[in-house]
Amino acid sequence: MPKQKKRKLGRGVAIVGGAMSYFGMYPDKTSRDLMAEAYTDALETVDKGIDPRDIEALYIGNFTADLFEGQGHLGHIMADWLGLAPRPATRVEGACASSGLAFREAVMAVASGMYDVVLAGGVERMTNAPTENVQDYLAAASDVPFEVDQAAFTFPGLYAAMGTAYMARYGTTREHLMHVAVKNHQNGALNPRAQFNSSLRDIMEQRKKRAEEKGRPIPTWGDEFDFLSDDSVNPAVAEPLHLFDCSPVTDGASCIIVAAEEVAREYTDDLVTVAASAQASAGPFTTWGGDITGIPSARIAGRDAYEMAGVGPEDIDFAEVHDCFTTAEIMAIEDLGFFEPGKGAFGSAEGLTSRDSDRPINVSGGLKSKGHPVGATGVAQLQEVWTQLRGRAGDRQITHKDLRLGLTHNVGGTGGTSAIHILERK
Amino acid sequence: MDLTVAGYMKELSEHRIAASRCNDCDALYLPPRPICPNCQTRKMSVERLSGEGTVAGLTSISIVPSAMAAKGYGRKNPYVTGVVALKEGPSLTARIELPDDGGEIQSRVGMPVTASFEAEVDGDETRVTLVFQPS
Ligand SMILES: [Zn+2]
Repeated sequence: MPKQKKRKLGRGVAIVGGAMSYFGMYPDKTSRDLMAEAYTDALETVDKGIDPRDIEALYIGNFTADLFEGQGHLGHIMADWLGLAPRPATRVEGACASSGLAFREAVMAVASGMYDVVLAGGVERMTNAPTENVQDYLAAASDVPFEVDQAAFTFPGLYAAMGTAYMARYGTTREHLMHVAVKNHQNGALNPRAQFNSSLRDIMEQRKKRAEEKGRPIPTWGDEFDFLSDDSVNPAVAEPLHLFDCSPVTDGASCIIVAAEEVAREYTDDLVTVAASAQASAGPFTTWGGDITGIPSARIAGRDAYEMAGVGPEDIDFAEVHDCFTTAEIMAIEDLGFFEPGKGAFGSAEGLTSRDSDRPINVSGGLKSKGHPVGATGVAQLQEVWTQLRGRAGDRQITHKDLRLGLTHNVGGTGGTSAIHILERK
Repeated sequence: MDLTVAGYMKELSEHRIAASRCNDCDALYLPPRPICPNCQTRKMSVERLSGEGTVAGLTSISIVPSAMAAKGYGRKNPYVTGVVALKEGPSLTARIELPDDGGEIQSRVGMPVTASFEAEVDGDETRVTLVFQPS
């Protein structure tokens, strides 16, 4: 890994407000409608209130409204619709890391001294497109002439191929992956804004009940693992990944308001600041030197984030990681240094990432259960960590330990882009 | 050849796998690229690779993109694609044809494979893609 010089923000930056829209399937809502929901809810979360006219600029993460709804040039659409034109509005694109990058741009714009208060948002409208088209549009985030035109990869396929390399090297099975799905759905069941607001156990029982009501034979699944092993309800998408290994197709938006630390107390006395903001790039996984069992850009961004915050993985109290697929969460917790390479799958199966563990992973439900409107995901992760650090997460609040440092891990493509942030409660 | 995407595809259409080697640090790149990330030099020579390697990772795709659906692939007829580490060092992504013996997909990692060139005619255009078979 290339050595980077140690970086720091020009001045302190705090989060003073944030919200996500309800994530799910909303055929009647365009991206601007979703964004307006997240924004108006975010304004309500500012403890001492905020005059929207205090917001000086917008950074909007979006992968491809161009393909999903034929709408490009999204920055000015959002500035206008939120009533904030003529303030400068910039769309930021980094595939599924788009709003992680938008947040980072907002933080740097404030840290530079240019602005005191900036909005970072993210949005994606996805469910109106047919499944095959969704695969095509998401595949635009890969290396198209080689991964798509030559090899006919889909996005689940890319993470599946990485999964097989991992499974072959470390001797893990599909059952290890299932533990990630079971855990994240349990977490999502506590999140009222999650797309899948139910545990896999509940989904299984509902299917049994429906079969009974319709007079069909009642399935004999004993537990979630039985359910997930049944290809008739959990069909293959890209082996070894099945339906419940994949994050869903989702409509949703997210919004955060950041402010210079020196003005932030005008908005709240309950300060959460940005301890680190790091980002790294990489080529497609054929350029990674032969090892595709982890994501190099996430390791590099993680290392840079720890260095910037002056902490190590052992200091992180909880994290929201980019579990677009179950294989991705296992690689994430290793790339971030929470587990040794090859130990993440076993640790997940042992419950070491569950909400009552020493370092809970994806208490929001993760992308897997909360939903993954790709351009909205990065800011939604940050909003969850901010909410948890302030003790305001309701039923899903982590209560068994004090929270001081939370981390977000947001990945675009198969790690072409990684954005990692560490937030600190003051 | 031109060190461009089109240059590589033209080589493929003539049944050659072209790579570029850095004249300064000896690193080998596939697809061939004009700038060496190791040493930033632009002094590159073209080399042709054997097409022999091993499977580094793979998948069988059931939820298919529209281009593959048009060719008859789908839930009932999945196809296999993956990453092949070539014996010269670089790796590439390509379709893989596997014997259907019901083995778990991850059990194929490490399998030796050899490239073949598959031509596909689409109107006036012929596109050649690499497809790997067990050696
Ligand atoms: Zn070189």
